[in-house]
Amino acid sequence: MSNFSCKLFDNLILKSPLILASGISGNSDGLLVRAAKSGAAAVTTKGVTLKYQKGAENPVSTDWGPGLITNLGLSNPGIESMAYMIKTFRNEMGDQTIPIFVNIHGESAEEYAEIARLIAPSHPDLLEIDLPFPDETLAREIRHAVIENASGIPISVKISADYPKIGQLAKVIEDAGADAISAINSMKGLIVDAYAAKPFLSSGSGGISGPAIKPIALYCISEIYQAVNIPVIGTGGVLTGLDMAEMMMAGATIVGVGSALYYSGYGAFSQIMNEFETFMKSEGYQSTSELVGKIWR
Amino acid sequence: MEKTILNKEKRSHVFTIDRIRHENEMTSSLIMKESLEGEPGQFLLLWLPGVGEKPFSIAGTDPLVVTVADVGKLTHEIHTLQPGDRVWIRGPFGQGYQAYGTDALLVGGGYGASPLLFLAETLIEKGTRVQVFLGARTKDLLILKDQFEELPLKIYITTNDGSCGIQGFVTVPLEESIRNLPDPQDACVYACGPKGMLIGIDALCEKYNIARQLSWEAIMRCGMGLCGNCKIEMPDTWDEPSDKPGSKKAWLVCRDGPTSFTK
Ligand SMILES: Cc1cc2nc3c(=O)[nH]c(=O)nc-3n(C[C@H](O)[C@H](O)[C@H](O)COP(=O)(O)OP(=O)(O)OC[C@H]3O[C@@H](n4cnc5c(N)ncnc54)[C@H](O)[C@@H]3O)c2cc1C
Ligand SMILES: Cc1cc2nc3c(=O)[nH]c(=O)nc-3n(C[C@H](O)[C@H](O)[C@H](O)COP(=O)(O)O)c2cc1C
Ligand code: FES
Repeated sequence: MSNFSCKLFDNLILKSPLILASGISGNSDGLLVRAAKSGAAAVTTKGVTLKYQKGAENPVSTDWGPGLITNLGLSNPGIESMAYMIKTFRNEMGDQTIPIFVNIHGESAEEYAEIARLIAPSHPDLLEIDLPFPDETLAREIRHAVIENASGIPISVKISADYPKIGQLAKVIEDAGADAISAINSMKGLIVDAYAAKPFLSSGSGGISGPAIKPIALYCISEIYQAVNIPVIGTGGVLTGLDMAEMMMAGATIVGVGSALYYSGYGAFSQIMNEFETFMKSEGYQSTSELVGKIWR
Repeated sequence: MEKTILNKEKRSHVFTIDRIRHENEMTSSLIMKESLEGEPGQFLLLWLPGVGEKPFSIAGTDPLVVTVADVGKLTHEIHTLQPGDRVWIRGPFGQGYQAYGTDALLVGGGYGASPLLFLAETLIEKGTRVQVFLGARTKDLLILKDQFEELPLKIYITTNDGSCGIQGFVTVPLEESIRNLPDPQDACVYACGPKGMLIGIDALCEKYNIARQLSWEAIMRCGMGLCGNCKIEMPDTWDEPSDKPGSKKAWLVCRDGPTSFTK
């Protein structure tokens, strides 16, 4: 296969631009290993909170046609078990060093700082801050709180499309010292069952992901790309190699997939990479860096 | 039948209960007015708005049949339903049983027998010779005995307390029948039930080098291969397929299963 390696930072080079996004398979080291062995160039854990969270009652998800809706209620094993999971993941992978990114979720700047302090000794390859809501001051505070405690671990801040001035928010995050921006998270939505006259999910609303959000993700990524100089980790509706190329052209340095595992199983990774390789060859691209932000150059 | 739900329609659809068949004190089969496409071994998700949504095996497709044991919150509520009441169903999901060989040995533990009547009917239609082994702790926990007895097949019953059939585990008559098979290479064991029973059957099949398809259970949440809640480790006897690296230690019941196939 061609060389599709991607430089995220000087000291973090991935074998390809395709990674596992947060929240899918991310509560189990066995499943993260499976994603890595299936071809993910890096894996991201489920959003982890200080303490174990049981999560929501069923139904927690459905395929509503153009996309998915999920609300698992942030079920996760808590920070201590996550530290253990990182260790097990690395042991299982042995010589095949696949970076592991840890997605973290708190309610306040203090809580983020505490989570960062507790996970830092495990040296995840990247800390991804799942911003609870897109607020510039909060983003700055959280970023400062985490940087103090993360002992030099690179930090990405993950934002959703719900913020109208997404480029501006990204710039604030960059100025606060973030190393990367992840975008986009799933978007708030609601599915109603007319016969039941009730929301379908037990929690009411949920996160919309999959093909339905792809154009929104492309828009946000291109806005962020133009506003900042740090790399963008793109996610949102990528199911094919062509989707990945499009997202990179909009400005993503690397691309995460989540919902693709519903549509194509773990085979999604090799399928997307094969399609991507075909595209790169047919269009005569030599390296992935040629693609990044191409629509703006 | 009124309508057939196609595979591509993934959202829940309303089904109306036509009849209820009581299988035993804690188990009933809901027979719907509508049909659902699906294979034996596949499962569906049944939702009662405001109560919850859980996985159940497809026990018949035309009309749709679901056999439910009353074990907790949702299943208890299901047992209060009457003909004419509605339930919400999506599916089918997962990998069903595949027809394999001339002789089929079907083993059900407790309500694990629920997909097997449908499987027996399907296999008999294909010309397979079928034997059924039903096991339960006690007589009152056996299900579908009368329905199986109406089919052209051989049936063996075991109960742990001896209140019906042979006293002991299903593996006893099963081993006997495996030994008497004309050609073990041209046969398959199909099992559904508690994990301990499946492990026992797997070991027995390994000993006699006979193909088996086992249907595994796990607590499901998303049912869509996303949350990872239904992950199990496969037994040592199971060979990891080369196109599914890492699946042996992280096998998703909702997506890779619920049935596994060891040849
Ligand atoms: C693929 C698959 C097919 C199934 N097919 C059938 C079927 O055809 N008929 C049937 O009656 N049941 C079937 N089940 C089991 C059924 O899903 C559970 O009995 C049901 O989820 C219990 O829901 P509840 O709300 O009534 O119980 P809860 O109140 O949630 O729990 C009651 C008790 O049951 C246990 N429990 C909950 N879910 C499961 C589970 N999935 N497996 C084992 N124990 C569980 C709990 O730990 C608890 O002890 C199947 C399960 C799977 C995974
Ligand atoms: C089941 C599920 C769980 C998710 N959990 C998280 C999470 O814990 N933290 C987070 O930042 N994003 C989470 N996400 C968002 C994804 O990481 C991703 O940004 C989003 O789904 C868009 O990508 P996709 O269309 O490829 O799924 C989750 C998404 C799904 C579908
Ligand atoms: S139930 Fe969520 S992955 Fe199987």
